[in-house]
Amino acid sequence: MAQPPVPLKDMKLMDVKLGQLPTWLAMRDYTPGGIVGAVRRGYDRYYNKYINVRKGGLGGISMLLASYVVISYIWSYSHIKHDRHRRYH
Amino acid sequence: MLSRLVLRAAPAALRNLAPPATVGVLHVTRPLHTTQQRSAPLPPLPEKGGEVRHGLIPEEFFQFLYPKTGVTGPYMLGTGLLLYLLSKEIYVINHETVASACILTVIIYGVKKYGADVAAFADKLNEEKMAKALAVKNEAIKGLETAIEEEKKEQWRVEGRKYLFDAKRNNIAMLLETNYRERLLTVYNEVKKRLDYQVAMQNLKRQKEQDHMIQWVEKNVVQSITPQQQKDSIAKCILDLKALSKSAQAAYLEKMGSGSSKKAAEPISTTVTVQTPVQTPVSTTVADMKPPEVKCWIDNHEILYMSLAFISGILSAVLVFAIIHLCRKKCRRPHQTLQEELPTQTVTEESEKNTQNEVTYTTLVFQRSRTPVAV
Repeated sequence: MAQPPVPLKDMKLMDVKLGQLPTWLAMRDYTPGGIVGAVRRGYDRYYNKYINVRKGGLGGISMLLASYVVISYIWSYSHIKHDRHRRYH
Repeated sequence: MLSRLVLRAAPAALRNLAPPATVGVLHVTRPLHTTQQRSAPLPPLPEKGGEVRHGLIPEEFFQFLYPKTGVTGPYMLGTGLLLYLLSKEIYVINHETVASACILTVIIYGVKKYGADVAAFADKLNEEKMAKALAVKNEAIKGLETAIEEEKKEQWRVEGRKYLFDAKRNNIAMLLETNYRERLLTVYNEVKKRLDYQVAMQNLKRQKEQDHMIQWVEKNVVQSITPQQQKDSIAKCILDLKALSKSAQAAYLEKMGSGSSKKAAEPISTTVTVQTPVQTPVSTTVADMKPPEVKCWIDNHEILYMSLAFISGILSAVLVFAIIHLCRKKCRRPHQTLQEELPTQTVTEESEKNTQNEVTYTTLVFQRSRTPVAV
């Protein structure tokens, strides 16, 4: 890791040490513009890695669908709670 | 795989969402094109996407856990996590689970069976799209290259304009030359016509003068011929003709009477001599007959004797004529007796008649012969 000293807030998440995590989180840009920028960056990364390729595989969209399934399960957990196999919900 | 189908629809859908928003926000406040333009060509699309294991979990997760837990680490993690969720009923098994299980089964079966074909089909479509784009690019390049060559050819052609102008100049010079020569020819013809006219005029004048002079000379000559002169000339001509006729007559007699007697010859000769001056065609025929009869005439002795007799007769006749002439001259002055005159008168009458005939004959001949002499 022969890199020049980078200010904390610009460092990538994977390079942040565990102890620096709270400070790193605090120093992130939480303005609406910053959030939109972050979303955009994330989207671009995912898109260019899994979809914008010559021979895209199934994983590209299946991961999105799976995540959609998981998120929808989480959002409807309060409703699914009632299907638990226990006497007292 | 399905992602390839999405690839065709997703780009258009996803890309259309974000750019307009940013552009709409930015177009007034921030200047565009601030970063330097990159002239390097775009990097080509990656061949394969990020590895995903089991279609759900990216490979990076497995690699992340490999150093610590080895190959089976993530699987153990997954199994443990699943059991925990089930036991704690964080994941509840209900009707949805059954439905999802069925759906997943069908989906996985479909993908496993037809995945490759669909992938190939999608790839084919992609290839066609790429090929079309490439074709367009190549066509454009070819068109531009041909345009460049054409341009170079035009430049080369421009260099040849010198020869073109030389040829044009030559043409014009030739036209001018031809025109000049034509005009020269017309000038020459016109001048020649005028000179010919002058020459013709002179010739005509000279001819007219000549004709006029000849006519005038002829007229004067005719006028100058006095009657006495005419008579003298006629008499001379008569004598000439007589001499000619005698010589002709001899030949004619030799030819006609090759076996006749002397007696017949003499009276014939006298009568013939009287009438010979009138009979001109006879003399001509005698003249014609003369040359072929020359040999026979000399060979036959009889003919020789006959000719001698004939000549003697002619001489006697000439003597008679001379005597008559002398008698005429003598009779004019002294006026002698009629007895002597009678026989002589008859003879003179005859001779006068002959002379008259001879005169008319000679005048005719002279008039006829005059015209060629005058011209």
